[in-house]
Amino acid sequence: MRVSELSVHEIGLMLQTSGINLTTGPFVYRIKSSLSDVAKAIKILYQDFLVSIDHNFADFHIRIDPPNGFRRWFRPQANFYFDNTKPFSPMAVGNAVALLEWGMNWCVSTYVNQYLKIHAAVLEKDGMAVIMPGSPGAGKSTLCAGLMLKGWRLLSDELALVSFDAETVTPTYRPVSLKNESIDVISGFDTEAVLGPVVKDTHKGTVAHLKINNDDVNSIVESKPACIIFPKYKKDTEQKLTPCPKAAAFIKTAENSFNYSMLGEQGFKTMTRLIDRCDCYYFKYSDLTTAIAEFNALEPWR
Amino acid sequence: MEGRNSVVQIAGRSGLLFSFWDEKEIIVYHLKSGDTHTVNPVAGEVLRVLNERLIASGDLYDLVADRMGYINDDEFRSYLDEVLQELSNIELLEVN
Repeated sequence: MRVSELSVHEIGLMLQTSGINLTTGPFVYRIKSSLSDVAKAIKILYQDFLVSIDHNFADFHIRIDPPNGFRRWFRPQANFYFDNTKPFSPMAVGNAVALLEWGMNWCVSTYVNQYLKIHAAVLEKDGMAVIMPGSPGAGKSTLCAGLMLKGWRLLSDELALVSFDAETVTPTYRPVSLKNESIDVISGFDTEAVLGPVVKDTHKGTVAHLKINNDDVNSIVESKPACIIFPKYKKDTEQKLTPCPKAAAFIKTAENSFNYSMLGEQGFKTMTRLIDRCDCYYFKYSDLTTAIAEFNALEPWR
Repeated sequence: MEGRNSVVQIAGRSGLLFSFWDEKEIIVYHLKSGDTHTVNPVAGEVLRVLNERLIASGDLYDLVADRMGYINDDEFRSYLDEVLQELSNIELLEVN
């Protein structure tokens, strides 16, 4: 069944008992939680996703719950549990939804190694993908959200999963994580953008998640890597797309990879194949509309 | 370097993997350390030679100059010494 067929109350009951199996791309998460905010957020952000309550295999068993003891009541907190271990420090209970999203990302970035994993937004059009690696604050999530809202298919705003032959990028559909000013930018950019709860005072500032609006989030449609673009938002700057030398693109992409070093020779060979097949650019922008127009005019999508 | 008869080799007697774009942009992967480096074309040629064989530094000057179309004069040898030192500093090669 789809999440949209369930009420918040039903989702909450499932989360508190058997948990729900949520499939995103090739991964299945079994999620449990006693927190109503988590149920509400799943209802909003994952409404098009298929869920089940069966006990079939799940890749990741996670739970968002208050800690035991007085912190359940006094300045209440939430913990992220992975296989009943706590990889992170607890956070204020108001941050539970952000903690769920970060924890889900952490599962893949930590434990999945059958791909070359790059910290990057990935979008697709006409079967070809653009990969946008970026350090926090570079403006990649804002650009990613804008492109998605204007017809590009979002594969991920956090993780590029590149096959070892570099022929495909595998989607791991998830909401787009927006931070601080970009929340208002995207709300103003498209009034139909659906945002989850706005979470304040996290270690990343104010955070909200944008519902993915792909036509189909329940099938794995792989794409061919075509471009790597290193975006940089700078207020009032002149928009500029500049070719990035291949060697520089290699190093910058490797720096943004979660497992390039761990994969060793395989990582090097895959990164070489990826850089070989992609056009690589630096991209400075300040206006979302003209930035999207520039993407639409790039050679693979012209 | 330590003389024309000293032997130059890849650090740890390991192998290297290369990626080239237009023969000017070169990335080198050191199999033993797992480190990745960008190098210039001369350094890339030095490493390609050393990846193929053990070689005395005097022969290395001749071979690299020949492959790259340079004259093996004092200026070239002085430059190559700097390149070898730099490659040694980043632990890609060792001189024995």
